[in-house]
Amino acid sequence: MKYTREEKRKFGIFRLVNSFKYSIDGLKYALVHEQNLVIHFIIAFLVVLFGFLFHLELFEWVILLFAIGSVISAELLNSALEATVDLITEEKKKNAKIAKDIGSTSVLLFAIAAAIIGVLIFLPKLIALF
Amino acid sequence: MESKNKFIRGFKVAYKEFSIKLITGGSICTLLLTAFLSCSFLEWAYVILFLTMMHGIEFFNTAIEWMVDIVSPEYHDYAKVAKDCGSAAEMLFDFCSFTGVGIILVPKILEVVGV
Repeated sequence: MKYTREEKRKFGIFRLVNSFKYSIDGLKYALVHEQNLVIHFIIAFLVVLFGFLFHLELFEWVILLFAIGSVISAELLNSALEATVDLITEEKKKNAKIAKDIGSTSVLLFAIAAAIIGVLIFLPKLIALF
Repeated sequence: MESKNKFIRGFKVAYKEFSIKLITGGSICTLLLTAFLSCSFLEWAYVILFLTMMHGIEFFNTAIEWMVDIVSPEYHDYAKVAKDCGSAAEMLFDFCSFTGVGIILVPKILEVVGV
């Protein structure tokens, strides 16, 4: 078996700029069509806001950044996977359902982990406040 | 060329991609810098977590791109959406890990330089 993907050999600043353009296109598409991604972004914004209010330490900022980035990236990869499945088959199939379900389960797991991290960081500060 | 092991085969294919080479080069430089700056256990853990997650997302993105190329070699709207969303995921996590590793390493670099 040979890998027959067309190899792009051109290097240069234009390719880099183009790849950023494609990424921003994908982000725009996902923000318009995926409601969950908007919710993730709103929660991330609130978390950053509360982080500034509570004067977090550097390590807490780093782990919050990791949680936010991994959830949003998982969501975007999930929408990429869904688009791929839609590309392959338009009608209902068992394997297509399994692929989409497992993709959204991965997002759910990341979101649960991020929520646990958020509670671990913010709950002691909230309790100390009252 | 043909290896029995799927793991090794995947690595061989993935390292034809320019972006993965770039990321691995950057990661090796970051690890060397981390070793040079005498970081604590927690800082090592964060740096390795970020770098590994970045590689994972990059490999997933490569897998999706190959799959899309197999399914539709010609232009298609869904194909564009799939590739763009994959690269958006990559870009966002790359920004996050640059910032996170920067938060860890930049104060130490400034200390060494003596600003």
